[in-house]
Amino acid sequence: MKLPTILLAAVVLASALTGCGPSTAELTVLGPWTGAEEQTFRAVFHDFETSNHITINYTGTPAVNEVLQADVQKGQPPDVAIVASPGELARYAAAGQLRTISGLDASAYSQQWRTLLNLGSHDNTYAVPVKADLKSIVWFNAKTSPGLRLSNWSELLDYTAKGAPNTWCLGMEAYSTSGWPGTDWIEDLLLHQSGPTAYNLWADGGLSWKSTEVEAAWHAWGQLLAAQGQQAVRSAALLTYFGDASKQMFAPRNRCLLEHQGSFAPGSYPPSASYDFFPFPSLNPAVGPKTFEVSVNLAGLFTDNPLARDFMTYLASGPAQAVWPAQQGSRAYSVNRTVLDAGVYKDSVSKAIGNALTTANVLCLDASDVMPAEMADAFSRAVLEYLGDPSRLDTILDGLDNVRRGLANPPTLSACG
Amino acid sequence: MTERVSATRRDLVRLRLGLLGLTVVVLALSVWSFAATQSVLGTVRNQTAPAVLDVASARAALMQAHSAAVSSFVHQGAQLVGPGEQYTTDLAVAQQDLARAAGDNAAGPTGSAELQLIAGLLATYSDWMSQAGAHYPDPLYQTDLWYAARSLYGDDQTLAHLNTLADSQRQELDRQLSEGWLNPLTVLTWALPSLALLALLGYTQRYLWRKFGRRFNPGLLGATVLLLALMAATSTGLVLAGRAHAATAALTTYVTSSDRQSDAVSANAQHDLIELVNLGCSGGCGATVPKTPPSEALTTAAPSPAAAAAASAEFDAATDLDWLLVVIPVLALGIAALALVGLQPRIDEYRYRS
Repeated sequence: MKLPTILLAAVVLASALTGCGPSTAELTVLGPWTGAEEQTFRAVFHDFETSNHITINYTGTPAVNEVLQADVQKGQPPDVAIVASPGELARYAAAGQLRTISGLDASAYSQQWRTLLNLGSHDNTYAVPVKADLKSIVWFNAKTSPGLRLSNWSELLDYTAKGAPNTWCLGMEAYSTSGWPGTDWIEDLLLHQSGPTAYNLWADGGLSWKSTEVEAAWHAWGQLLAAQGQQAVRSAALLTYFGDASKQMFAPRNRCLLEHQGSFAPGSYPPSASYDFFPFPSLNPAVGPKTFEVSVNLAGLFTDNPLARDFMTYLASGPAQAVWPAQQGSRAYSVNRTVLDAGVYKDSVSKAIGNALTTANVLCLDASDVMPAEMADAFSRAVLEYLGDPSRLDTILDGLDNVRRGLANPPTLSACG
Repeated sequence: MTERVSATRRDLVRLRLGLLGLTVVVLALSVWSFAATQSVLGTVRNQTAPAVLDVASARAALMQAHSAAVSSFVHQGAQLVGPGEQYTTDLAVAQQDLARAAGDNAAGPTGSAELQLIAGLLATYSDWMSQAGAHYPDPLYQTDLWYAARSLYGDDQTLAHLNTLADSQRQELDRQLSEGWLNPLTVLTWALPSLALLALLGYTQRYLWRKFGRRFNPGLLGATVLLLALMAATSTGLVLAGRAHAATAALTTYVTSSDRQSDAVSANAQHDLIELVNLGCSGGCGATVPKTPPSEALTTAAPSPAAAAAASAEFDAATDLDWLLVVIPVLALGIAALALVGLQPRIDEYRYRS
């Protein structure tokens, strides 16, 4: 055996032993989904992996905000992170830690969404929506109340009083985030009473909790609760898990009639349930119809990895957006118009939600998802305090304003588009 | 004559080569097998078994903490001390146990993720409990207390994740004690070459008897005795594995008993809490709060800490034969030396004849 042959063999052997062969490209993705939802998300990016011959290392954790913050502080962010708090992404964008993205098919996303995806910047796109939920809707049992529509505040109050004490399915308990179902009420009332401008300003920390607009929203909620009943209604709401409250709409006894909840609510309903929804009514003629609050999981790009950039474009595309809504029994929705046009949604309720998400006149991000975590947490606690004793509203709002003033200047994020 | 002499010499050289070669193989595989077994048992003793104990202890301390806090509110001690000193101490114990479990964690990334999640859930639990203390005697304290209990017992909450973590640690312990070098089939890796060497020693002995008319070659006889001693030394790995299995059984008994007792403490605390909440909301309790379950007498005694110490001592006993790692190579060297002593004079004899 000649010397070059021996050397070549030695190099090949050493490469095999040390694992220095050609490496497979990898992307790191951080997201909130674990368990069955993680499997569905893996199905979303499977095609990207196979067509690009890469491996996506996905880490799912419910504490995605905390893990992302730790990774960014260590200087080791994931290539892509998906969060449910647009406010978090906006703070990374303002700090220059989030990359702008391009290649988003403008025709597939409404102007409202294109504005929201700018995360407060003028013309830079910073995020891709992975899936969204429509809020500002009221669910009802379509079997017992077919075709129900309540189109203004007085109709809603009258209906509440007639069905008392079981009109609304109310549940505030949600483990560590207890109180958020109540924050959705305040947000919706503020949006539909004072309009998107006030909502936007308030969500962004520019409007006092003691302002006329915000106080009016709390009072309106108190009015509705009073129409349903007194202390017992509030006690029950405080002690009930929001998912259990949903189920009561189809319970054999003490059945409630309406539920103010996002488009994910039917996930808690019995499989045989027949249900429908109507938009939350406007409290002010100046606030037009088709004004909705939404929550959304947004993907942000944290590195300059070209593959990650391609991945963001893939995530925004129609085929990727259709994977989650197309799953059996899925309650996930896309804001990409091509998904709706492709007939992915099979039933009329899903089609109506998909339509609202893509064609609404005004879309506002859930204010709690826009606020800094401390403010959102205080907001949830304030809801619980208010239900415990509504007469303490002044003190509660003072407390919220104190929290707001104590926050470092948050970046300006447009909550409405 | 020269041809016969040269053939015998060649056979003797081949036998010497075979004996020495097989001795090297036996040495390598015996040392490797024994060292690997010791290493696995060391990991079990130092990490996996303590992690199982840590998680069981954390679970028990957490249930005790919750019971103490509920008792403080039910008996109105919360007026002065909130959830109470006992709650604070037990919760701190639970957190220390979990910190130790994180250090010992043998369940890999899954275990780490669970531990991270549990740390977050415990923060939520203690936060609601602090709120309950702050709100007392305002009726809202009952809601906080209920939320704290829900963050313990709810679907996918603290207790569920503690159980998942405990299961993953137990599975890892079982895997370590049944796979790899503790799989009984791996005995073959050192036993087969040892038996082959034994057979070759016997064959060589017989060959020398036939060729030279001497019934026993003392050198080869000594090498055979040493080989049997080496096989006995290496097979103590099986004895140690047996001890580890016995220690695991003792550990399982302790953990099961501890979990049963903490479940009983927990059931009593839940009974008292649900009764308290039902009194507070007087009929308007919603769809989540159940009717008060019947009270249960606490019949299960907490397992003695001595039982945990005994299980740990058994794991120590499963790794107390480290010195055999020195004895095995010495025996192997002795085999090689005696094989040479037995064969070399005959080889030299034939060299002289040729």
